[in-house]
Amino acid sequence: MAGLQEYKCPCCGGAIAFDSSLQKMKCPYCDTEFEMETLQSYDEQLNNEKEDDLTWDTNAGTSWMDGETDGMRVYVCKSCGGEIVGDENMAATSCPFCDNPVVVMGNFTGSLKPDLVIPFKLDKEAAKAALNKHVQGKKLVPKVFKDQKHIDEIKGIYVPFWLFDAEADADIRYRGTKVRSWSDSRYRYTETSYYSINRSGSLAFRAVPVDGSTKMPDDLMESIEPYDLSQAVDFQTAYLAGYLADKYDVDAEQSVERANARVKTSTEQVFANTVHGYASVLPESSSVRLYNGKAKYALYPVWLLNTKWNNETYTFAMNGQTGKFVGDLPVDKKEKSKWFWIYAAIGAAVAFGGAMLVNLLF
Amino acid sequence: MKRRIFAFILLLALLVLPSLTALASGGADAYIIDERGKLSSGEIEQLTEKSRLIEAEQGFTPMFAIVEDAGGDVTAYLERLYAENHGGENGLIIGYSNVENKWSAAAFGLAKDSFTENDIDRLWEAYQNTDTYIAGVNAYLDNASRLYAERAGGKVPDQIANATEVPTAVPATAAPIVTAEPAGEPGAHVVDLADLLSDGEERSLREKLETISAKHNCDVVVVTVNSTGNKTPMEFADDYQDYNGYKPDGILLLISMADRDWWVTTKGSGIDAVNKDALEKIEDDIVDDLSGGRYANAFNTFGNLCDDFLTLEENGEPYKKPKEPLISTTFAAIGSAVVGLISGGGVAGSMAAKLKSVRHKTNASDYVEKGSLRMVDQSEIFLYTNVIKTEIPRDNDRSSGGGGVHISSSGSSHGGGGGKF
Repeated sequence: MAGLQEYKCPCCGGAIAFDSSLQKMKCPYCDTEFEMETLQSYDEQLNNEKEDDLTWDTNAGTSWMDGETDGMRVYVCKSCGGEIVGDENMAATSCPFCDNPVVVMGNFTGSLKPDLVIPFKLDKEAAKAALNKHVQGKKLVPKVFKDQKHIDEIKGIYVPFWLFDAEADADIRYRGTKVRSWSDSRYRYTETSYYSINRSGSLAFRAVPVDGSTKMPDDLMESIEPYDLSQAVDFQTAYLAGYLADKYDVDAEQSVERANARVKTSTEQVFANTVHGYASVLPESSSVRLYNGKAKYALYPVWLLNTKWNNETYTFAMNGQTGKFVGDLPVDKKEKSKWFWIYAAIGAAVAFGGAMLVNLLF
Repeated sequence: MKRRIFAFILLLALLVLPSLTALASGGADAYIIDERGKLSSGEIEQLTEKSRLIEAEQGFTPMFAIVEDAGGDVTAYLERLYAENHGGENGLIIGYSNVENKWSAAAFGLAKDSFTENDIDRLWEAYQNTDTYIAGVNAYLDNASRLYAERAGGKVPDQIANATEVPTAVPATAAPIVTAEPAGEPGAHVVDLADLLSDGEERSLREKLETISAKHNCDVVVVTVNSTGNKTPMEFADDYQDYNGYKPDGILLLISMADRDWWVTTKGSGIDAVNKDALEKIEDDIVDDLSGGRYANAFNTFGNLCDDFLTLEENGEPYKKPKEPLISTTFAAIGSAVVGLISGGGVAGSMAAKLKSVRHKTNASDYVEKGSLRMVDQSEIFLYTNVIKTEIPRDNDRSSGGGGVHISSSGSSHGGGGGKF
C-alpha cells in the first residue's frame, strides 16, 4: 500500500488537497491550482535538497629536511611581536609591519616548509614607480602628501598563503517569475507565472589563496590578487635571499572559513548566471558541497611600502609578480568640499538651464 | 388699561392692513394685477382705462397679472384671479409669477376658441419685447385687441388702431402655454430670478453690463434662475438668449441654482470673442467665487472678462491663454538645487572612492577552473500563474465642454460651455 503523500503548496506553503471537480490539486488556503505532475516533480526537487558540506583536506606543507633551515634566521620585532624569516646575512633594519627599527635575531625553528613559491619578478624601483603612478591624477590626495617623496621603507616580503583546491557540488533552487501584460479597453492585465528552477552541477576551483599571516591585513592581500600560479616553483631556501619572509601564524584549518565563503559565493554566482529569461529570479535554497578539498602552503611575493602622514601610517602593497598596486590614500577634506561645491554649482546650473530650455521650447 | 386697548387695536389694524391693500389692488373688477409693485398707480390707472375701452368696444376682457407667488400652479392662480374679477365674461388673462419663474395664460368664453396657442405666445412676446413694464403691458393690450378683432371680428378701438404697432417676434413653432419658461424683463442685462444679488449689487452690475454691451454692441448678460426645468443649462441659456429681445451678438452667463450649473452661451461676435481659451479663463476666474457664494464678485469678473475678450476680438487678436511654463520656476529652482547636490556629492564621492583601493574579495571567480562547470540538472517547472486586473483610468473629469458651435432650438448658432460650481 502506498504511503499517504502530503504536498505543500509552492505558493503559500499550506497543505494541499486534490479537487475532484477540477481534477487538479487546489490549495484550500490560497486557491492556486496545480497539475498533479507539477507537484510531484516539485516535491522531488525539495526532497533532493542536501546540506552544505564544506570540508577540506588541509594537510598542507611538508616538514623541513635536516640542515635545510641552517641558513635561516627569525627576526622578532620587540614592538609589535611580528616574526620575520630571513637568511643570516640579511641586515634587517626595521619591522615591515610597524616600522619599528628594533629587530632581534634568533634561530629559525619549527613551522612547516612551504610547498610552492612564486619568486619576485619586480624590483624595488618598480614599486617606487608604481606608487608615483598610484598617486597621480587623484585630485583629492593632499598636495603635501603627493610631494612627499619620502617613503619610509620599501620591503620585499614573501607572504605565506594557504591554497585550497576544491570541487564544488551544488544544488540550487530558484523561484523565477515571467510577467506578461496586455490590456483591453477597460482593464490592464498583468499575468505573473511562477517557476521552480533547479540547477545541480559541479564546479572546480584551483588554488584559492588565503593569507596565513595575521600581520598582513586580509583585505590588503586580497586586493593584490590574483597571482599566476603557473609560475610557481617548488620551494627552495635560496629564493629568500635578499627578501624577508613572514611565518604563517594562522593554520590551514583556521583559514579555510575564508576560502569556503568565497568558493560558495562564486559557485552561486556561476550557477545563477545559467538562469535566463525570467523577469525576476530569487534563490530559494542553496546547498554547496566541497570534495577533494586539498590545501597547499605557498609563499607569494609582496612589496610593502609604508609612509606616515599626519600621524597615521599608510600602507601600500604591490603584487611582486604582476605589479598590481593598492593602498588607501588620505582624503583632503577641503579639496573634497571644494570639488563638491564646484560640481554642485555646475549640476544645478545645467539642470536649471535645461528646465528653462524646456519651457522655452514647449 | 387704555394703552393696552390701543395696542390691541393697533395689532388688529396691522393684521388687517395687508388684506385691505390686497383687496385694493386685486379687488373686484380689476384688469391689471401688480403684486410686485412694478407699475405706479398712475400707470395702472392708464392701463385699466385702456382695458375698459377694449372691453366696452369689443366685448372682450383683457387681463394682465404680475404675480409674486402663485403657490405652485400659475395657470390655476391666473384662472382664479380672472374668476374673482370678471367671472363668466369673455376674456383672456396672461401673467407671470416670480417665485415659479413661469408665465402662463388662461382664456374664457369666446376668447377661448378665438386664440390659438401661437397667438398667446405672440402676446407674451409682445409684452417681453419692450423695455419697461408699462410699455410691455401696453403692447400686450394693443396686440390682444388687434388679434381678437382678427379672430372674432369686430372693430379695434380707434385709440389702439392709431397706436404704433409694437413689433412682435413670432416664434416658428408654438410652445405649449403651460410649460412656458421663466423670464425676466425683456432685454435686461441682469436677470436675477434666483435673487442672488442685493438691489445695490444688481444696480451696479446692470450699469456695468449695459456700458460694456453698448461699447461693443454685444449684449453681455447675466441670468440667474432657480431651475432650468426639463431643459439642459445649454438649451435654456441658448433659448433665453434667442427669445428675450437681445441683439444678435451676445454673451450670456446662466446660473441655475437647482443643480449648481453655470453656462456661458455666445452668439454672433460673442462666439469669436469667447473662444475655448477664454471660456477656460472664465471658468478659472469665476467658479471659486460662485462656489463660495460671492455671486456679485463672480458676475463683475465675468463682465470685466467679456469686456477684455470683446476688445481683443475687435483688435483682431482673440484671447489666447498665456503659455504656462511647463516647469514652474520654483520647481526648477528646487529641482536644480537637488540635482546640484546630487551631482556634487556624486562627483566628490566618486573622486574620494578612487582613493580607496583596499577591499575584501567576496568571491573566488579568479580561481574557477575553466570548463569545469558541469550541470547535471537544469530543470524548470511551471508552478502557477497569477493575473492582476487593474482598471484603466479614464480622462473624463473635465467639467466644462465648450469651444465648438452648436445650433439651438431656434436654429441659431451658439458657442460657449459650462460646468458645475
